[in-house]
Amino acid sequence: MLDTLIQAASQALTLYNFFGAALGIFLGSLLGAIPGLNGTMAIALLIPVTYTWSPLFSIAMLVGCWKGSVYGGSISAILLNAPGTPEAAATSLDGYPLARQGKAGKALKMALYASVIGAVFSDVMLMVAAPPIAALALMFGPAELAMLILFALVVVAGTGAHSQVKGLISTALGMLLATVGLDPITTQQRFTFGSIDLDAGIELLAMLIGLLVMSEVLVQMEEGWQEAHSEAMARSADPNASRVTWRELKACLGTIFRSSLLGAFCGALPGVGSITAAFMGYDQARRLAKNPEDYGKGELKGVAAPEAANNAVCGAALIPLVTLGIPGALSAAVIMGAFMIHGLAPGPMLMTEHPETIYGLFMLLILSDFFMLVIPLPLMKLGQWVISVPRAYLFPVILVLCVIGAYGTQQNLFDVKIMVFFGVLGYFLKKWGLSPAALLIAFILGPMAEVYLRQALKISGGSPMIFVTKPLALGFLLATVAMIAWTAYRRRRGKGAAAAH
Amino acid sequence: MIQNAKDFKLGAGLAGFCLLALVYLIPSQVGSLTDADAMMPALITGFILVLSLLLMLQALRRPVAEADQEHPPAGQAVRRSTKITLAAAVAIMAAYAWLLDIAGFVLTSLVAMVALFLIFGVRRWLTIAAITVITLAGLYVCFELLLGAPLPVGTLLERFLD
Repeated sequence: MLDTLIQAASQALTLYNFFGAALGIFLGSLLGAIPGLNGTMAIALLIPVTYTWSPLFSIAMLVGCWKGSVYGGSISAILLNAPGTPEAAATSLDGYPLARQGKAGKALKMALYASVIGAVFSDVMLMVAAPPIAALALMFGPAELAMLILFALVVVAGTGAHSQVKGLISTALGMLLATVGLDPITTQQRFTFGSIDLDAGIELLAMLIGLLVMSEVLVQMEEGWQEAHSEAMARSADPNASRVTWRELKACLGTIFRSSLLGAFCGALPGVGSITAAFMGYDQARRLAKNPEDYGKGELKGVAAPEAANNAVCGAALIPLVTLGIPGALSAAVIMGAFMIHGLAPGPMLMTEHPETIYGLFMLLILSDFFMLVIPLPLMKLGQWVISVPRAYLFPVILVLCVIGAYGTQQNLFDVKIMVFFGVLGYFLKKWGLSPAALLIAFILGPMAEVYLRQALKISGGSPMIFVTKPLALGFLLATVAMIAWTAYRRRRGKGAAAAH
Repeated sequence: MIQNAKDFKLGAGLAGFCLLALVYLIPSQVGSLTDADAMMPALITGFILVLSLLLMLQALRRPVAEADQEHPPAGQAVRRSTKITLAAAVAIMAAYAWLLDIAGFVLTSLVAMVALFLIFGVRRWLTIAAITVITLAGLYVCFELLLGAPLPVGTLLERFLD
């Protein structure tokens, strides 16, 4: 173990990799600050550039970009009341009132400190939890893994769709699209329509750039993007107004740790995500506060809680990804694509086959948290300028980046057409209340689900009873049924309450 | 009486697609429904068919959910112009994807970027020129020189150079 750690450190702790992590944080903070751009879009656009770089450098940069974007979202949330990313919406509740009181600097710095603490907490959780979970997962056979993926798919179906049925349809469509190409076991062509370009299946990167980036531009065009107009902020004469004192930080530490724990828990569960974590963090802080009436009026803990929670999601969302091959969040699904592009297949074998790379990545993640303490600081000053770049200037550049990003990985023009197709499809999916996120995650998990399902059936001689006779598989199956029933009950109760209200 | 026409149409469309897949697409593109290769596609299609019927059933009983309502409720004229802009953007992107092979990266991207700026309402030619040149030069340097990933030259230019 010690040898592995020393090897991992020698691979990871190089200036080259430090630069990768720092670059990711810088780009993420910058792009996350712009309302309308989010971390997932930024990662999707950056993946093609990393194709020729080393896996450690690339993945450290992409995870850094994710973390940076989560913090970056708070810059515009605090300064303009226009969250740069959806997970920063909870931050604006108290961040913007603080900025209006002339304490923008204090709010931004508290958001930064809380984000860093949340991120470190989450990365430590990842380092501690990943090895035993991966070791446990190695004991799973095809039947257990098939049922585990089924469970994850049902959980993921709740991501972003307007109803449970639509979520399940999105998931099933993703799995159907994953069957395009050669059969993973018999290599029989499926849905290729005679095109050799489709033999290897639909290119993941082209699909995700189309579904997540191009479709988002189209949706924002239709909704009539709201340009952010910066309002002149009040300036306070108090020198402490633009910094966080030790006393203030100490007072927020309890809230930050509780929110980090909540965020890490939400991150480790597939499909819950950082938006839920941020609002849960904010809610627990308000409920436990001695002065709940101050929340929403500029309470510093109201900034610290959601920021710690949404950053704590990032590292923890890598736990199911690294150990089981199941992404805990949409950005983690995109990062899973990066793992695959760089020849690292996420799943129980990853930690056995590439321990140096994975432990090296863990070290870089913790290190990148400290970069986060320094790199976004100048961006706070740049913040006002960055977030006021008009969308009309940004969108053509983003659309060209989509085309080049889709082309860049394989230098195949067919992938550009695929990207445009999925861009338009993603737009319609959103209009119909279906979930592109659930579709994408199901597309990634689909081939694994099929292989495990068919392997399990082969072992049992074609009898589906194997999923019931194996205790763990049965457990996952029951959990799947319980999840469907619970989601249906929760939605029905929510609708009932809304109707009564 | 249908309470939610949008969901009903979506369910009907998906159900139609599933029937087409089960009757024609899977047998012609994969194999008989009983084959091992066709098991997963057939299972998933059947599942989508059931869900589509459920969606249609729900659409008959439940009114439009708040989350499904169109945003923003702008005037008809605005919405029509937005739709035209949206269709133009999609058409430009489709043409961009198809013409890359013929006209190459530089020419196609240049035309596409300028066209996109214009449909997004940017009329400052200096700004358009500056952003376009910087973006394309940056991408060219990044892909061609730094990453060694050649960008498409285009059959037109290839023929001209020959």
